[in-house]
Amino acid sequence: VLVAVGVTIAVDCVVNWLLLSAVLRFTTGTSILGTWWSAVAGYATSQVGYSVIGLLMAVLWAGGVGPLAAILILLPLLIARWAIQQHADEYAAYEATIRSLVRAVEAKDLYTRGHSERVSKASVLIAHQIAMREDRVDALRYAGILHDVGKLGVPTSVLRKSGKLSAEEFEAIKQHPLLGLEMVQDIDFLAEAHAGILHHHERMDGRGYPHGLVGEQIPEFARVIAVADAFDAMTSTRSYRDARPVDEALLELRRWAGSQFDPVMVQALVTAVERHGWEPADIPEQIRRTAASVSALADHDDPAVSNGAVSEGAELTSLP
Amino acid sequence: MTDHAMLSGTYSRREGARLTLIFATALLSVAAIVATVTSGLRYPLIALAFAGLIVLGEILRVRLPSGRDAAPIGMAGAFGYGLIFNVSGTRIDQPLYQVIAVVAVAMVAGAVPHALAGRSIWPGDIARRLLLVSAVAVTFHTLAATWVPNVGEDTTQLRGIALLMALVVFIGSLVDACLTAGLRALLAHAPFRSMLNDEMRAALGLGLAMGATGVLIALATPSMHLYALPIFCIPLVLTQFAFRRYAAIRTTYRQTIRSLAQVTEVAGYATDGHSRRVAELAVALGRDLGLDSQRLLDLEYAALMHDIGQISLHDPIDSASALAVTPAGRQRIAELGAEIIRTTGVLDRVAVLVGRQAEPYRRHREAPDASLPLESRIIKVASAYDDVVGDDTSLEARADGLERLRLGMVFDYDPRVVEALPRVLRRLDGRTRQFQF
Repeated sequence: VLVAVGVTIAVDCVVNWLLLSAVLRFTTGTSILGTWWSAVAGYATSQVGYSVIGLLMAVLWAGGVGPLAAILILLPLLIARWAIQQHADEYAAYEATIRSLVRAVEAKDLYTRGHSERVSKASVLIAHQIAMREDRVDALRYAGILHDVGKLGVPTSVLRKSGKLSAEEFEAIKQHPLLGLEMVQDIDFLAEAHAGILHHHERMDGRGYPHGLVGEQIPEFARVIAVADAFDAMTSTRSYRDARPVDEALLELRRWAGSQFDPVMVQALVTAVERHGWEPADIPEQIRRTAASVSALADHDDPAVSNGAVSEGAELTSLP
Repeated sequence: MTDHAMLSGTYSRREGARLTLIFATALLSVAAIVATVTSGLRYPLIALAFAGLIVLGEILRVRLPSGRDAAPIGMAGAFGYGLIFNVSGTRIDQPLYQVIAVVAVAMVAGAVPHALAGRSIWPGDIARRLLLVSAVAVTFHTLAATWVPNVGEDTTQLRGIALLMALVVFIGSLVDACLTAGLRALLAHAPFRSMLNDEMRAALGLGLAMGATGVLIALATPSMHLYALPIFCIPLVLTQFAFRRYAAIRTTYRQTIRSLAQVTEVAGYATDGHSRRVAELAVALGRDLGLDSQRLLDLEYAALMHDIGQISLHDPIDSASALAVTPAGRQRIAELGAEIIRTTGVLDRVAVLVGRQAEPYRRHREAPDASLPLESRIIKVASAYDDVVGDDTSLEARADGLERLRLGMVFDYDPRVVEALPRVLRRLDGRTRQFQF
C-alpha cells in the first residue's frame, strides 16, 4: 500500500510542477529549471503533506474503517489550524499592545509623539536596504519602537530643560539607554534588540554613550537605530526650530557619517528614502503653539544637540 | 486563630492525594513489569517500536500556552500500543500487563533526559497519563473481546472496532479530565468548576489530537505494518509545532506586558517591583476565588498595568503621590490607565478591570455593587496590601497589611477577598514545593 501511495504522490508532484512551469514559461518566460527550486522549497512540502494525508484517509476508509477515518485524520489538522490561528491573533494583539503602550509613554511629550514608530520604520527601511535577514528585521522593528523607553526614567525637568545642560544633567540623560535595557531585558524574544537599545547613542568615533564603543564594536542594530533616530529627530518639528526638509537632513547625516554614524547605514537610508520616499512627522500647528509656550525642549536625539553636549561647554546653537 | 498562626501555618495536608496516586501507579507498574519479565516479552519488535516512539515523544514534549507541558507524540504512541490488535494480518494478543509495563518504562525513560538537563518533571502527571492509557487499553480489549467476534483475525470490517476505539479513548479522556480537575481543585484549594473548565479545554484541544492519532495508528497497523507509527505522527508533529509557536508568543506577550508595566516604577511613580508583586498576589487570590485560566490571564495583565494611568499625569512625581492617596485621585489614575489600555484595541476586558479597580465594593447605605468585577476587587486588595507591606516578608509586616485591609472591609475592600488573603499568602510561601498536575 505504502509503495502505491508514494508513487502516486511523486507522479502528482511531477505533473503538477510540469503544468505549473509550462504556464509560467508562457506567461512570464522563466525557464523550467529556474522554477524547480522555488517549486520544491515553497510548495512541494505542503503538497506532499496534504497528498499523504488524503491518500492515507482513502486507504483507511476503503479498508473498512469508513467515514470515521476522515474525522480521525482531520482532527489533529483542525486543531493545528486552530492553534495557528490563535498564534496569529495573539501576535497581532502583541503588536497592537506594544505600540499603544509606547505611544502612551510618548504622549507625555508632544514633540516626540510618534517618534518611536517612525524610528522603527526608518530602521526597517535601512535593514531591508542592507539585506538583513527577515527574522532579525522583525527584532529590529521592536528595538526601534522600544529604543527610548528608558527616557521615562530621566527626570522630566532635565528632558525639557531649555538651554545648556550641566554635566550632571547630561549624565542623567545618558542613563536612558541603560534604563531602557533594564526594562526590556526580560523579554527573551528581543534578545538581539537589547544591544540595539543599549547602544543606540554610541558614536563611530567612540565619543558616544553609555560605553564609548568604537566602529564595528557597536552592534549592528545600534548603528541602524542611531541613524534612524537622528534622521527622525531632524525631520520633526521641535519647539526650538522647525522641521528640516528630508534632503537637508540626509545631507546632514552624510556630514556626520564616519564620525557619528556608520556610513553604510547612512548610505542605506539615503538609497531607501530615494526609492520609497519618507513621510516626516506631522505636528499640527495648534499643538506646536501650546507646547512651545509650555516648555522649550532640546531633543537629545538631535545631532546638533548631542554633538553640542559632547563638546564641553559648547552652546546649543539651535536653541531659541 | 491569630494572624501569626494563620500566616505561619504549614501547607502540606493536601499533598496526600497526589502522593497516593503516584504510589499506587508505581506499584501497578512494578507489578506489570514483574509479570512481563517472568512471562517473557511478547512481540518484542512491536514493543520496541512503540516504546521508542513514546520515549521520543516524551523527550520532545511541548510547553502549552496554559503553561503546562504535554507530550502529544508520546501519548499518541501510548494510546496506539494500548489499542493495537493486529499487525500486517497477524493477531496481537499480548497480555494487558505488558502494555502497562512497556508504556510505564518508556514514559519514565523519556523523562530521564529532562531530569538530567535539570528541567522539572512531574511524577503526578506521568502517573495520571499512565493510568489513562492503562484504563483505555483494558476497557477496549475487554469490550472488543465480548462484542466483536474474531477481533484481530478479520481486518476487513474495522468499522465497529474503529468506533469502539474512538469512543473508549474519547470517554477515557473526558473522565481523566474530570478526575484531574477534581485532584487539582483539591490540591490548589480551587473550585472544581473552574478547574474542570481548564481541563476540558485541554482535553478537547490537544487531547483530541493525541487520541485520534493513537486510534489511527492502531487501525492502520493491519495494512501498513509499523510504518503507520511515523506516518500518522506527521500531522501531530505539525499540531505540536503550532502549539509551540502559540505558547511562545503567549510567553513573549506576558514578558512584554510585565516589562512595560514597569514604566511606572522606572519613572518613580511606584516602588520597585510593585506591579509584579501585585500581579503575583492577585493571580493567587484569583485562583483561590475560582477564576479559570482565561480570566486569570486578564487579571494578571490588569494587575501588572493597574498603575499605568500615572504616566498620563502631566506633572509627574509630586502630583502622582499626592493624588494616589485620595479616592478621587485613585479613580482618575484608574480611568486614565483604562484609557491607555483601551487604545490597544485588543485588551478591552483588561481595560474594564483596570478602570474599575478604585471603586469601593459597596457605598454607604447601599448593597455591594454586583456589577463590580471580582478581578477589580482583587486588584484593589492586592495593591493596598502591597502598599503597606511591599517586599517585606516578615510576619509583622504581613499582620500590619492584613490589619489595614480589615479596617477597610466595611466599604472599600471585599471581605471575601480579604479573607482569602492569609491562606493565599501561606500558599505562596509553600509554592516552591508545589507540583503541577
